[in-house]
Amino acid sequence: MRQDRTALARPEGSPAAVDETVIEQLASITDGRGFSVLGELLNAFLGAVPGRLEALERATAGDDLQAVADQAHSLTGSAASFGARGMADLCRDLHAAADKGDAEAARHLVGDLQAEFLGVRAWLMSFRSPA
Amino acid sequence: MNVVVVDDDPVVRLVLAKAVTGLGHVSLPAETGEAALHLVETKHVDVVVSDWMMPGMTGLQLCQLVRARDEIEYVYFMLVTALDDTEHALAGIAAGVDDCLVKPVRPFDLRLRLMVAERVTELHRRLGERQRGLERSNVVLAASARQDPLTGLGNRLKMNEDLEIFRSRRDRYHEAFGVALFDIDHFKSLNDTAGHLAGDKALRQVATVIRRELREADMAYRYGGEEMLVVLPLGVRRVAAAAERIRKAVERAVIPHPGRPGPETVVTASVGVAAATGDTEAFLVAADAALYRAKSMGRNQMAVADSSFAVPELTASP
Repeated sequence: MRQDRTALARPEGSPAAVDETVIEQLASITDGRGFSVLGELLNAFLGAVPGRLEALERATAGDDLQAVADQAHSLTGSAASFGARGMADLCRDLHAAADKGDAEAARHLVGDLQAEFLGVRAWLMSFRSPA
Repeated sequence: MNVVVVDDDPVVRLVLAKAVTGLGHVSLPAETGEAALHLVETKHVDVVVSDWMMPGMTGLQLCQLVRARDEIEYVYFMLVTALDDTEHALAGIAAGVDDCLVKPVRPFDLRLRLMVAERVTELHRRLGERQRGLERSNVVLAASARQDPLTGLGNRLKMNEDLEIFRSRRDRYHEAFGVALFDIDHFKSLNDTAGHLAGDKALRQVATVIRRELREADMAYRYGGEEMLVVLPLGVRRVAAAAERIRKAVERAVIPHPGRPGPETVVTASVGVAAATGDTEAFLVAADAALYRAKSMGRNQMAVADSSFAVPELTASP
């Protein structure tokens, strides 16, 4: 089972975008009638992140570093909850940059974050819809 | 269990809420510490799972406020902290947090911790029930420990406690009071002739007459075998008048007194009255001496202690 899923799940080019063991944990959550709610959780995550990234982009463009720090902190939790370690690390770096007042670094990190999310999304989409 | 899940991040909140529901509990999601506190205050909540770092109230502050409530029902509190955040975990536990979870929360960990939480809250619930039971029986015991079982009047313990209160009110607010010590005449002959059960019955009947004659602020106690003490928040003249009224009421109750020497055939009482001046022992001794005088003057009458005539008539407060 795990072998199959792994084979389906890992898209080329983003080998470690998501920690699969975290997703397996999430897959164990059921709705009380024994059905996994993973699909619902992934939809919530994938639906929420783009808006958050846009907000980060606006905040960095407007040099609103306090908003950047708050958003970054919140996104850290979401990313970590879905095993997106790379994203979580970038969020922490972004939080630190915003705290230091380094707007330039913050802008770069938001770009990195957007790129990282594309890999995470691809990974999760392929995991969610096994052939 | 009802589990409040607090996280400002909607995605994390959803994951936790789903995990809680999947384990067969009811999840109550809250976006802020403030909203969580409101849930704890208005609903039955067994467990709180709270993020540490949130805008507004932090998880630690939430825990402190939950703990500050004066409730018997225990709320099991879990704090979610970052992996290497030992400092916050320590501060949390010190502030009343029961358990710390590492972020991101693994559903299996949550399952284990909720099993522990269930055990602990169940223990607290049973302790609370037992405590409420004990409090109820304490109230009953405290009352019965102060009541004379035969007559239903206060016993010596209650009398001593109440006299202390009367005395401190007298000393602080100059509220006069007086005592009337009743003794059933020829009680021994009643017991000897009709038996102790008849004696007990007569005691109960006299107590009933006394109680009926008293007003709310007056108190009555079983003082000794066939002696009963009445305490009235009045000046000595009015105490004497009340004592005389009670004495007559006892006589009018026509309680049979077989074996009584002399012409009388019903229960009567003699009574000694004293103003409650000085310490308790002094005025009780004075009342006893007055009672002795009433007896020696032929019984079924009232006498006032000599010392009480020297006392200026204090006006009792209503």
